[in-house]
Order: sequence, then C-alpha cells, then structure tokens
Amino acid sequence: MIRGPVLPQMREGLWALVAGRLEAIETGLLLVLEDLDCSGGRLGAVEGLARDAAGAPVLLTMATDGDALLAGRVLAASEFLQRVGDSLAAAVPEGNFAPGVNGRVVVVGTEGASASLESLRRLSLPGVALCRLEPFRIGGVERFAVRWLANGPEAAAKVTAAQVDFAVAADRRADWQTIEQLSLRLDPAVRIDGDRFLRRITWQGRLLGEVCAADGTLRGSGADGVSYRLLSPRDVREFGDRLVRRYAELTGLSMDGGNRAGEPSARPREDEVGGCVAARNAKGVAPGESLRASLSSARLTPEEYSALGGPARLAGGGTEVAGVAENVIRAVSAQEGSWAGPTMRTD
Amino acid sequence: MEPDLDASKAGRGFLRRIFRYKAAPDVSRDREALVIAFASGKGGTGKSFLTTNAAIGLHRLGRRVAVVDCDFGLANAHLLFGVNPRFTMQHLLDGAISAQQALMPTPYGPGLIAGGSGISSLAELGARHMQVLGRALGWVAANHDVVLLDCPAGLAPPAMITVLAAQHVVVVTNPEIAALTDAYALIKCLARQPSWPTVHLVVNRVAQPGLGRATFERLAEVSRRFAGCEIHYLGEVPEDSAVTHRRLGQAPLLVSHPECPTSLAIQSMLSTLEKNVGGLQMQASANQGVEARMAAQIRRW
Repeated sequence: MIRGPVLPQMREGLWALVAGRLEAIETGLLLVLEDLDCSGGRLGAVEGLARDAAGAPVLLTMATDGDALLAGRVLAASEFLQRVGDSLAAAVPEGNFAPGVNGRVVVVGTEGASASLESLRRLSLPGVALCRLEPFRIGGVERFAVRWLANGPEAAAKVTAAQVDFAVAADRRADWQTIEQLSLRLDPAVRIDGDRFLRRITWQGRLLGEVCAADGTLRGSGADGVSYRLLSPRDVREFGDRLVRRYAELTGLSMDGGNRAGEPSARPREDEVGGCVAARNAKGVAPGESLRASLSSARLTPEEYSALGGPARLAGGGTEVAGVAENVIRAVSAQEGSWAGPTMRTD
Repeated sequence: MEPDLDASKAGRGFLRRIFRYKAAPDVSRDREALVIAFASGKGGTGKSFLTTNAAIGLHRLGRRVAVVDCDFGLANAHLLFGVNPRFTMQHLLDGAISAQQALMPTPYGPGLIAGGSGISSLAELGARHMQVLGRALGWVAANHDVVLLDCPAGLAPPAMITVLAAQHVVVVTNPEIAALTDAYALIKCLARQPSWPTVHLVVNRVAQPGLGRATFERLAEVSRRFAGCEIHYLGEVPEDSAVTHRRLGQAPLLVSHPECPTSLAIQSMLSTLEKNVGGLQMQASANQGVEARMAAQIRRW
C-alpha cells in the first residue's frame, strides 16, 4: 500500500511541526512564547502566543482527533483575549504588540481532527480562525498546505482604511490616494485610521505621519510634528518620501545606498574573504522586528537540527540521524594524519 | 590621583610603573579600533581562553589591544591574565567609575576591563547599563587598535547587543553536537537582525586534525542554506590536556608555551583573521562606531 505523507497526530508533535513553520500558516506570524494557560489549568494550555504582521496577539492551539477539551480551550482562549485586551501588551513586553489591536485565536488541525474543526466552524466564534493542514510530498520532502475553514487571514486582515469617509476636496483626492497606496504598500502592518478630517498612518502602533483635510487642501505632518502643505504632485512625493524614511528609521533599515545600518563606511574588501560576504538574510526576516522577538523566533527547526546532525524532532516518522561528530570521525579516520603531541615542559 | 597609584596601596602603582601601560589620550572619533567579539551559543567552549591568548598574540604583532570581559557575572578573563582587578565591569555599569579607571594593565601587554562577579543574572541588566557600556566601549575603541569583547554565552538580549556592537564576531565552537547546534542558534539569531557583524568560526578542542574543517563545512552549509548567512573559517585549535589542567596563576599559554600546537594554532588563527578582515588596525568610523551600533540595538530591545 502506498502511504502518503502523514502529519503528527499528537498535539505535541503537531505543535513542534507548526512552531517551526509559522510563516507557512500566515505571513508575518512570529512566535513570542509557548504554553499559555488561560483556563486555570482545567482545559489545557494553548500551545503558543504569537504576533501577526499587524502587531496583534494570536493564540495558537492545535486540534487533534479525540481532543474532548478542544472547544472549551478555544472558548477560554477567546474569552481571555477579550478580558485582558491591551494589558497583554504590557504583561508581555517581549511580544511588542501594537496597542489597540484585537487579538484572535487560530486553531490548527489535521485531517484527523476534521470533525472537531467542523464543530468549531459551526459555532461561528468571532475572532477564532480555523485551518487544516494538507500534507503533500515534493522533491522527497514533506510539506503542508494550509486550508482555511473560517476567518482566515484575508478576513482577519485589518481594515487599513478607516470606515469614515475622508472629507478630501475632489481635486485633491488623487493626491490622497497616492499617499494612501504608498503607505499600504510599505508593510502589511501599516494601518490608516482617523476621522472625517484627519488620517493617521501608523506602523505597529507607531506614527509614520498624518494627513489632514482642511480649507480644500491637504496638509501632511511627519512624526516630528512638522506640517507641510501638499499643493502639488512634488509636495506629495516629498511627503511620501518622508513617510518611507520614517518607516525605514523605525524598522532599522538603512537608507544609505544599501549599506547596513551601523556599518563603518570603510569596510574591509569583501574579496579578501574569498568572495563570501555576510549577506543580508532573505529568509523571512520581518522588518521592524524587535531584538527580543527576533531572538525568540530564531529557534531551530527540525530540518536545521537534522542538517546539523541531531535527531529529527518530528513525531510520526522522524528518523535518527548520525551525529555530525560520528560522520566526521568516519571521514577523518580514512585519512592519514596525526597531531605532533604536545612537547611542552611542565612548570 | 588614580586609586591604584595611591602609595598606601603597595603593588598596584608598582605594576603600572613597571609596565608603563598608559592608554593613549583621546584621539579623534573619526577612527576607532577594530572591534571583535568572541562569542558562542554554549558556555565552556574555550571562548575566554582564546580571547586572552588572541589578545596577547595581537599585542606581540605591535597592536594596542584591549580586552573587555563582557561576561557579566561570570568573569574569568582576569584569572587567565593573572591579575586582581580593583575595579570591574560592575563598577563601570553602576556609573561609579569611568572607562579609563576601569581599564587596567596586564603583565602581558593588553589592557583589560575585568568582568563583574556581583551581577547574578543578565536579567539584571537594563538599557541604561548597556548605554553605559556602549559609551565605555566607544572610549576604549578610540584609544586602541583592536578591542576584543569576551561575550557572555547564550542568546540573552544583553549578550546579543554586545555581539552586535562589534564589526566582526568569532564564534567559538567545539566539534560536538551540543556546541554545534548552539553555535548555529547564535548565527541564526545574528542573521535575523537588520545588520550583523561578519561571522568567523574557530573550532576549539579538536581531537583529530581535519575535524575542525569538517565541522566548519557542516555549519557553513546549514548557515548558508537556512539562515542565509555566510561564515568564514579561522581554523581549528587542538585539544590539549596542558590547557585544561592549567593551574591558577600560570602565565597564559602563548607566553608559557609559544611553540606548542595550541599556541601555533592560535597564531595561525590570528593570521587568517587578519587576512579576512583586511588588517588588524584602527578603521574609519565615520560616526558609525561601536557606541552608535550598540545604541541602535538598545533602541530595538
């Protein structure tokens, strides 16, 4: 019988798989802490507390077959988020949660938990997203796709334009749309809200700039409070440039011709190290991530652990891999070579 | 008067006069020292041993070298140098003394800011302490050619901030799986930052020749593939029972046994490092020196 790829069926094994691949669940999702008990120990802990691209807290729990406490745990998690609200940001500063954003619960399950997931879906719990992992194998490697059953990222994506109409004069509307689109393109975590006459543009709760509609014109002000009249396309471009620079400043990106932030301008020649340069990490580093968050999210994945020579951690099929030292010793023992033993004098 | 020149404290002023150690006066901040952090994810890999001996090796090459023991609370560089510091990192971070007062001469050439022993955990260190350290490092870097940071093991924010303040980091690992995974964890953390120092690797306590290179190649492949970070090989340092069984008060290995395989390996490591970084001397800082780099990381904390 041909057996396809199988996901771990126990919560611990499934969490070990998911925790190392949160980006596959939702872009920009970063793990902050694990093992959060929000039901007084009665219903089990949710596996993880994460932060999404908009800076909102996300409680992650696994759904497996036969877990009778799942629904209660999910309800408890949802109620916990509603009770604590913004105080979670103060209680967990390392999460770097944006103020004023609502948290949500994400339930991750496998095919074996379909019945449980369906039950939760019928409950239509607000702020609870459900997804199921669909495993497949490609290039000899097992992966999984994510199928959202309820309240997926598209539904949970913040309404980045405020609901209230912005009272911009008709001949200035195109300028406002230029600023709005530029801001939204910067980062998924950019939010635009405000009232009828003011739009505030923020990133993870931090101000990038404000645009005010007054006297038939637009006025922009940067985070430094300096105000500019946006009378021409050039004024709009310059204001947009200030927004981008503010964003770069907050995220620590360098704006100086590609040099890394904090790097001395006179660097050693890179070709003196054989052409190998400490390259910028292109593997999912979230811009603006705090130091603490970057450290907590840099845990080793099972693949990395296995590649280094440690045992794979996946439940349900991981195989022990010989330690790197053993592999190396086997290779080295085939070579000739010996140390000239120490000939030092003893004191 | 410097406290250690007080006539009532016999011995301390004598040492200073004998070795005539004197830090150069403040120079222009347009140039500052090459700052190299010695770090490892795991403790006990031989980081402090390599830092102190590398400092002596650099001094013998004619460089003005300072070692800053940033192993908050678990300091041992002063033991390896065989000195008994009056002031330590703890006094510096508390604001009781300046960097100039904290920097002391050692009998073997390099200057030393000794680590603290009263700081029980890295959790005690806050942004204010790290700012003080940043300013102190700025002064030290302005007055030396090379500054070596003996960083704490692990990945706590104060440890990472110290590593990220350097231009180069020498990751010290051993050829066994626990040290290797922790070294990779450190590299992975570095590669997740907006900018990080150039990473070099030295494999310490190698029982068989060639094992260090094989260890490096495994780690380099994983770092390149998963973390997108290139690392550079500095060499392997052999396991030597004479190193592990050194008595307290013995001179550093490079002084007592300059021709033994371990000492030769350390000198070879320095030679490779010099080639990699393009010269072990002061560099133009252009207002982006160690203090600025540290401040940038503290803001992200």
